[in-house]
Amino acid sequence: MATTVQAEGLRVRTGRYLAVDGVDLDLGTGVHGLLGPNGAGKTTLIRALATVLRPHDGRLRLLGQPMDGRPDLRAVRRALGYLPQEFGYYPRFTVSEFVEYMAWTKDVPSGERRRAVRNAIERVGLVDRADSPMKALSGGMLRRAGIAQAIVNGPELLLLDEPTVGLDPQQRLDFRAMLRDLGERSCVVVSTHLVEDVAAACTSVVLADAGRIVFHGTPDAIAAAGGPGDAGDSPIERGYSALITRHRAGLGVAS
Amino acid sequence: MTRILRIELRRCGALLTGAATAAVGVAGLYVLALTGQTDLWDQQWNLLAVFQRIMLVILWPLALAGGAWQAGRDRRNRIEELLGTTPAPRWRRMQPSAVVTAACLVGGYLVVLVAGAPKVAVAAGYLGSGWLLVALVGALTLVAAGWLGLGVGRLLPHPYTPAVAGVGSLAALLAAIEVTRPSEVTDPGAALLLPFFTNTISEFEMVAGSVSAGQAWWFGGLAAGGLVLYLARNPLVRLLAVVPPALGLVLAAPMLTVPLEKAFPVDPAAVAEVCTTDDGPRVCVTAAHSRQLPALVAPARDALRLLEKLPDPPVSVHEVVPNSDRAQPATEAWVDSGNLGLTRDPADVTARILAGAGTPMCVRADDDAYLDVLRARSVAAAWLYGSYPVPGQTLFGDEQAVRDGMWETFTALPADEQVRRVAAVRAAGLTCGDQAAALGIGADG
Repeated sequence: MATTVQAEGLRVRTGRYLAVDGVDLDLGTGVHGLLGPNGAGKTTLIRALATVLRPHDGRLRLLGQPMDGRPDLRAVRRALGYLPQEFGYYPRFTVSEFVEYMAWTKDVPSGERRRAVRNAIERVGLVDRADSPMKALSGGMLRRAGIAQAIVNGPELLLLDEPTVGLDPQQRLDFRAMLRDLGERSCVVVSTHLVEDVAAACTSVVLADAGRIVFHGTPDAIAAAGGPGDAGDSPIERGYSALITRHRAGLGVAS
Repeated sequence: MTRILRIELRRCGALLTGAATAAVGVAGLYVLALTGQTDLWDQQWNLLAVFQRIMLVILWPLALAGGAWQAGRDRRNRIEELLGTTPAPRWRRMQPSAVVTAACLVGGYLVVLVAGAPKVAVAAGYLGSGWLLVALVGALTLVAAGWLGLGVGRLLPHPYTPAVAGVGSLAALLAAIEVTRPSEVTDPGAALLLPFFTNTISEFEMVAGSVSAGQAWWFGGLAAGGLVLYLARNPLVRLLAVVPPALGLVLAAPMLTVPLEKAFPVDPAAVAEVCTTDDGPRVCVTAAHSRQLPALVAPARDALRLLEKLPDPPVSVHEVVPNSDRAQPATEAWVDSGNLGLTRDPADVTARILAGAGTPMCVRADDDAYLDVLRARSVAAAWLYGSYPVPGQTLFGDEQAVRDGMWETFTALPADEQVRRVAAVRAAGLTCGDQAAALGIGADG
């Protein structure tokens, strides 16, 4: 498996706070769920992978490019898709105009742009709202429009921060299917609170807490880490809470 | 890029700024119809172009504020982080909004021009071409305002920046009018650096091509500076934003430091004569008033017929523009430009030509001799016309009594003396002499 994301001792600050503190990570093609409680550093890690934040310390390679020194950010960003947690958009643009505008910023060749836009909108199921202004969309539709702009350039590295917020159950099922499909060719990193999404769609799970990686393995492995006495309604939830509890006990952090 | 420009054009705030420019500009033109003052701009193309430039005192701050508003779009919509992760460099991402801002402002400005055009097309005597340059420079000043606004909005990313930029620039421009007022009478140089003209021009004047060229350099420099400020990647490049305006100013300065009469010279095309071509006596008007020639022909030829009472009577009638330095030949009867278009009554027009026996008024209204000369010219007109008072003349009580007395005294003179004195009034008028003295009858009889 080719490595798309490679981090060694990665430290990232948000302001004066060290939100990612010594992360080692190797991610290749597949869907990688990034799980963890609030404040675990998930969003900071995703923003660093999205080239929004520069590493404070350690090494980070994205798509084979080292991010220290003077990286060729343009080349990395051309192969990047990103849905931020706070998804901003131009409210007067229609969905297709917005996705097309983003395709232009992502250097999608003009001859391929319209087809790429149509494909992206089809994949998120927004064809019937393609001509609606962004400001007229519901929360779930906005999220899907956000995913459409993230995938319009066929990214090798797709970063989705809380992509399922606002999606109804059927849309979440469709979204998981889309993730599995995308993960066959790309490295997809999905940050979420929803453990069942991870279990259903991810090939690997990265569990973070307090800026560190607690666990990296398959969904089955995380489920196996839990026992009947751990909190949770499903094996993977019990595994999740068991791993977090053990990590905090090891650090001496009150849970 | 074309499709992206089209999307930007349809959706971004620049369209609103352009529409506001058009709406305010058109309202500025036609609100004068309420007070019957559209002749401030609808008589000639030059006047329309200059009046439009005067309205920039409002439109320029509006464009500046619009640009600053546009610059804050990414911040307002919280999309900066997402755009920052795309390969397109910031300067490239910002190009469409800069292009669309300029296009919308130019479009809005041209809409105002087009809105005024039908009225001007009906009234203007000639087309000319200088006005087009004046209008284009006006559009350029708006582009400069829009791009400076983009730069300021980018430099000071704050919600209040557009409002402060708009109100602040309006206050600064109004203050600049006051500061430049004392000198603009003779030396308008500093006033010509403002985006708008602080004065209008007459139908016979134009904006010198060199002034338009100088202003194009200056505002082109400002526009380029605004663009650099907007597209700059770092503070060092932002500092370079002062270079284009400075360069523009250096290039513009020699063209703008000119006296008033060179900044707004007489337009040769406007004062060129347009004459009748039939077999009757020649009647000529300026090209600016060529549409009034048909209405002038009959009353002017009547005036020539009546002037035959004098020895060596004139054989043609010519409109004369204010401050003309041409000497009046004895063979010509002149009528002041101001008398054309004032009345549709042919008899009134004839009487106006006969005032001063076919000579223009040489004395200014603030001159002590003004009233005496006016009275002498009026008596000469009545004598030539053959009736007193002449058509169209309405006077208040005291003045009417004075004129009545003068008329009675004059008509009591022997007939040949009357002829001699009216001829003397004409002779004095030909050389800008004292027409009151030539008539020889004062207010005291």
